[in-house]
Amino acid sequence: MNNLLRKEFGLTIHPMYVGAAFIFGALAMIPQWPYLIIPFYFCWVTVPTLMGRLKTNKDNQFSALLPVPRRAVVAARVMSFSILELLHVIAAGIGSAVHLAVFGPENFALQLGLGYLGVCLVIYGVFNVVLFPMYYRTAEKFGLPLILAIVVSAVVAGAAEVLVGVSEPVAAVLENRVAAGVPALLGGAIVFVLLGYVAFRVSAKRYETVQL
Amino acid sequence: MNILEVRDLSKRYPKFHLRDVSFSLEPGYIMGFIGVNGAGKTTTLKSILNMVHPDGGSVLINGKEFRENELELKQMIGVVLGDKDVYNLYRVGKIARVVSRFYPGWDDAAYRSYCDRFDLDQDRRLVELSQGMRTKFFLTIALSHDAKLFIFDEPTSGLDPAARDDLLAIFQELVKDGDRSILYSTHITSDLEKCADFVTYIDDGELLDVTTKDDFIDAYRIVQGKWESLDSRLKGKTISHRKHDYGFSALIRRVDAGAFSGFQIDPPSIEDIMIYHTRRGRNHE
Repeated sequence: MNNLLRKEFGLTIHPMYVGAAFIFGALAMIPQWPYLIIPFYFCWVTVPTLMGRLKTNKDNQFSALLPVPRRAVVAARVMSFSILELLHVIAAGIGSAVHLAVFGPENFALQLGLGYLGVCLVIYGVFNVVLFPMYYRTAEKFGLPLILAIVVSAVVAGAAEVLVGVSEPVAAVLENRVAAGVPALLGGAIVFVLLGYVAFRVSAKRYETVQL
Repeated sequence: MNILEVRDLSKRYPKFHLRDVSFSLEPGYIMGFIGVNGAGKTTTLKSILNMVHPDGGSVLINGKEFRENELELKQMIGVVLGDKDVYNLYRVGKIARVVSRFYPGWDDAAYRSYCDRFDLDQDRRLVELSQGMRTKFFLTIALSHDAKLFIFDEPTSGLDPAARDDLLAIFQELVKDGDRSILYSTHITSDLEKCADFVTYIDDGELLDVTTKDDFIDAYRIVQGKWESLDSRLKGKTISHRKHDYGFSALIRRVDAGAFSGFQIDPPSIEDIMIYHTRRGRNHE
């Protein structure tokens, strides 16, 4: 697994995509903004580019000849994308900290803070659980899986914004008025890990049947 | 013990059926796997490697079932498939470094030595290498983890005659010690005449012959004569025949040569055998 992860970050994921996480995270410093857009830059920019690279570099053929099981290839892929997502959340966290120090928490939409980062993790979890199992039906065609994953995770983001607007208890949890947002962040982290695991299990099973 | 044994491999697609392919390869030999485009060569190779899941049959490498011992057995095989442009914007040295981590038996000194021998510059990107150099690069990788079985899909396709000859000479040198074997598919029959101990011939998903190169050629004859002399009884004995301005030419099995006494009978080339087999049922009259 370690070797496959090194392969992912050595060949597939250019260091530029790590840098991009911090550029997108800096968007959290913009005052008065719908900050739940930030995690989607990864889905709109990074993921299609990476998946296009996998296709043009014939990664399926390359990986199939390595002495590793197919499920390990899938595990490394889900894990490497998850690491990038976590970097985006950390970068958004840094941007949020600067924003909160300069402008304070007031915002017309969901406020920044640990609760916001928890929602970002849920968005990425949902994105992964839609994207990977659909993608690994062919391990090549990523257009429709990507569009659907973006739409479903956007619905989750929209639902979070609506719930914060209409429900005070939800707003209290997500806008850091309950234990400074720690429960929301932990809840988001648990959802992210669980959905990532489901994405891996289903994808690995599907990839086993793909003819390369 | 055979280094490779393929038993009754079959795979059915909507428009193609690979039927009960069986052959074996001993250590120290080169087997040419021939057939026209679409005959099933790549499907067979990919089925052997479990990249395509066969519907039936088994593959044994070094006496062990490949599908049950895939990770262990992949350590001892080197494969170059038709797609040699994987990660082709990366430098040779970088790809080798990534791949080397997967092989506990990787020999860095051997890698450097083969790179020197093949003039492989570590700083060149794969895309900057010619097809022949790319094949040599992947061959170097396989040699550096001490592969014993080499599987190549059309390794000489797209190479100029000099590069082809060079590569075939390397193949012959590889098996010289008697512990390495090569299975390579090709539709360039002159490659086989230069460099193959055995020939496995596949046509439309069906294995027609597995034999030594000399026996393969010796099993057939080319017959030529006047068209009027080729009656329906003799036509039935040809694998396929062709009418031309000066009469006819046909491929027959050597055992049927007696029926064609009085005609001009010559040994065929491997290309003749492939061409006439491909024309079965589509005689030009």
